[in-house]
Amino acid sequence: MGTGGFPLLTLLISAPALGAVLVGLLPAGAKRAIRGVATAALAVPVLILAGMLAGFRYGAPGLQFVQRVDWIPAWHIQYFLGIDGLSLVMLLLSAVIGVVAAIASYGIDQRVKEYFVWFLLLQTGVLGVFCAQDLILFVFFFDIVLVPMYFLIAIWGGPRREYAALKFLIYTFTGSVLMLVAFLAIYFLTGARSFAIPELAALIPQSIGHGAQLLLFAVIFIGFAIKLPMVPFHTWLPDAHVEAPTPISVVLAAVLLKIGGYGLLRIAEPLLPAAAHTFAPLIGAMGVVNIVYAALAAMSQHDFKKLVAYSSVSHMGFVLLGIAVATPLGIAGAIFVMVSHGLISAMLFLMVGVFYDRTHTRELSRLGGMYRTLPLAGTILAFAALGNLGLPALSGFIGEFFTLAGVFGTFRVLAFWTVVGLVLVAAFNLILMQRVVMGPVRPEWKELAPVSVRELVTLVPLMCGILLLGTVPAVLVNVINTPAAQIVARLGGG
Amino acid sequence: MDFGAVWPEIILSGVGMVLVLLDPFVAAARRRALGYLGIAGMVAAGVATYLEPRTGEVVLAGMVVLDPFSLFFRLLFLAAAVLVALFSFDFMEARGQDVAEFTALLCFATTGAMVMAISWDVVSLYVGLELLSISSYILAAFLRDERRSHEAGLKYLLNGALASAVLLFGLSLVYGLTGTTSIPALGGLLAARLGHPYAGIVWIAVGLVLAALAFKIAAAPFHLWAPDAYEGAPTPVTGYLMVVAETAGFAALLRLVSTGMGPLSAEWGVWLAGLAILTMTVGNVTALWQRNIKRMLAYSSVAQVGYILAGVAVATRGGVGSTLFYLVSYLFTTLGCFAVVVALSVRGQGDQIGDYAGLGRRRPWLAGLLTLFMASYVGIPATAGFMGKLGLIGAAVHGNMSWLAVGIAVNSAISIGYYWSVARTMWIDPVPASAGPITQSAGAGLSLALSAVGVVLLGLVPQMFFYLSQWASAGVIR
Repeated sequence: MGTGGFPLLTLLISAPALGAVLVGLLPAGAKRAIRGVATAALAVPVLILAGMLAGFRYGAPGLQFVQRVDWIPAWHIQYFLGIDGLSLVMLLLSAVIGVVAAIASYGIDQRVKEYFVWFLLLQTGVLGVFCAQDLILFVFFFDIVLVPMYFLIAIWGGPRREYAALKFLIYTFTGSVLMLVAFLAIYFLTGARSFAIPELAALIPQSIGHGAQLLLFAVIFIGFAIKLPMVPFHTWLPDAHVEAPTPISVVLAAVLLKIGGYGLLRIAEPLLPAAAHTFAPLIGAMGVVNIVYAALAAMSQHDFKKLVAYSSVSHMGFVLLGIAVATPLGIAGAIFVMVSHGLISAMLFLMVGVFYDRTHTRELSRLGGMYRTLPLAGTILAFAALGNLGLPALSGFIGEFFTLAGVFGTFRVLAFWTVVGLVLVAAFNLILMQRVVMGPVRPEWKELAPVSVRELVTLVPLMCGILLLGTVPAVLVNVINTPAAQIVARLGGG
Repeated sequence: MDFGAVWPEIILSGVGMVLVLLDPFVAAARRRALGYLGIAGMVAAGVATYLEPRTGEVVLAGMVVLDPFSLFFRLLFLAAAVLVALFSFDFMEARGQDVAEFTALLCFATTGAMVMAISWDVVSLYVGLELLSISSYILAAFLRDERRSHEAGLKYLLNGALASAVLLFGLSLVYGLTGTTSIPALGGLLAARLGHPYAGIVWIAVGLVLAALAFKIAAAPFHLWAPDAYEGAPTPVTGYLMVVAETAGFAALLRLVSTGMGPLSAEWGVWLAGLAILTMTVGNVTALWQRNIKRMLAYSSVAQVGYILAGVAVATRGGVGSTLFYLVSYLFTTLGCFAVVVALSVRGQGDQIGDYAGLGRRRPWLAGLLTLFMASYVGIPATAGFMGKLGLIGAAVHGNMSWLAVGIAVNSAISIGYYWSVARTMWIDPVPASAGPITQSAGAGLSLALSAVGVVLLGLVPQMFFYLSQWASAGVIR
């Protein structure tokens, strides 16, 4: 681990924040300039990451592009950034979704300047979370994300936006402050004089008893389970997703939920492996509950967006399941599901927006026949739903297959229920397609505008990604193999 | 007698007297100049404080100690007084009040707070407390033509006098038990009395002192006077009382209880921890229902006092250090809030949370900064409040009071409900038709800017302040 070198990660994180300052200096009326500057500032991280892909050593264990300086020496808190394969894929996902969501935001016409300032700050927080290797720095970025997200939902959202935004804020913040208590407890119990994750991970086994480890793990796990979200902590998500404007739903589903899964893999599991082992059957069971319960809930929704929201909850069950399995296959599966769900859920929410912008309804019973009224949109929605369902050759299949293969090796009983869950997942996706794209043409929707170029610009890259990951999964697997193996090694499995 | 040790207090009270003497000879329109003279006096007192020794020597017949703790609190009170004075002149002039008289009272009250902080003897501490309290009663009732201000002053007076009496009674018991009024000698002598048949009286004495100080800092269940007094007092005075009067209460608590009764900390630590949890919970839950912003901030200050009490309850050096750090954070956050609230109140708006509707569109800077201060109260990163809570939670965990840490965490989440309702109102609700103009003088703007810089500095580069508060807390736990 070097500490010098060019501060590439700092540049990556701060580019959107600098963009926010630039946007702040523009006059509120210059909407085109604001959108342009914001998109450019969001594209910078993508370019930096593209460059990093070339310089990244994929087989090497440990952190790369490390930056480490003292931040608050009185508390031994460091400004410690670094990435491994897991961080890298999450950063790539966030950066790409950031640009996609920014382009999807061009339709926002109210208070454009404020909107993009908050959006850019949100992106800085998100990128920071995936780079932070110091627990306090992690919480710092984790909480920074909340404020912009609150305003993005509460100002530009739907009718119940204020309630939904506040619920999101209170749920997530509760989780994060409780985690902060646990982190401080770890700091004092280990006597580490550091909040750096690698140092703490090395000290915890010999300095904290098993009972205390179980308690700490439970607290940290719940903090991330709220974010993921895991049933029964999921109720903020359908509210937030339904009320948020389309681009924000995209970011929420594609990126923010991943912070929960990422936190489990980055912090909870490596820091407290013994507790993780003890809790694994419970986590696996909760994962299956997530899959089955949320799939059933999705099936019974009348609102297009709410259905997609519950679909997210359902898929996060696979992440929990993969983490519980704790084999290289399972962990890789969990990460794969996160990336794949990031792309597919983004597409689904964009499609909800495409239909809503034209029909001004999300009632599934009022939609229908879209194959004939909007053939291109109907086809794209079918593509996304099939990806969501886990059709082979699309990315959804690979992650679920990995996880399921892992589960068969460890938790046979759960495997049965997972298969039941898969059937239910397929069912609600088919119901979705049947309700929206099949059926007779509705007279009131005969004159809808076709899919615009701007919409295609946001959708096509996601489709390409889903196809690429589905057909050549090795491009992703090669990146996440090393971190998955490292996490498993920490957990003592293999 | 070495009166050089109290130069800052001499300067400040002297300037206050000069203001009162000059006042009749200056035309009402020019009295703001006298106000600025008062601010100059506060700054001069700050410079004098900086020049004082800080090595812990005890002077003036054992009445005063010049240690880092004294330096820290003197500067804290002076900084708060300057910030309050800067944003209060607009408000007082708009109501036809005498700025010079007001500033003079600020000087006297602040002198009292400073005397409390530097005291090394129960007697000087009590004298400082009374100087602060009596000046504060007048300040609370300063708006002669407003009934609510009178009511606030009277309530503050009655409750404050009761608390002073209880404190005095407790201290007289302590004197009877120990035969000394010297703070550092109390603890050992009290502990020695525990074995005697006096044990019951020792606990009654400690309990009375704690209860009286809990009154002064408005800790639940002794907080009931605070919302009424804080709501009715002139808005700048409310900010002053919340910061200076309560911080002075904490200075007294740290001196009298943490230092003076240190050997008994195993008992009062648990009492204070219970008080802390009760106070933060009562404050936060009650604040959720408030529609008047001064009342909401009053309950918010009760909640904040609960957090700060947690640092005292832990009774470790780290706990005291975190307490001092949080007091700095609380100062900037609260006075920043009040700088905005006062800016709206100058022309009579700004008391109801509804008055803030659409402020984000009318005055984005004011709304943005008030949002920043609300975020700091909640404890969101990049603000002082986050670092403050990090310190307090850390101290509680380190002091084997993890339940206290969880209490702070849960309460922080509850507090989002009301702090964020202000942010929501400012940025989401439409501008009401009745919205009048908002005026802010350069001085008031400076005060606001200084508070904002303080909140952000403490939130991003708190290192220096962490060291400062650790250094200042060195002698408290002995």
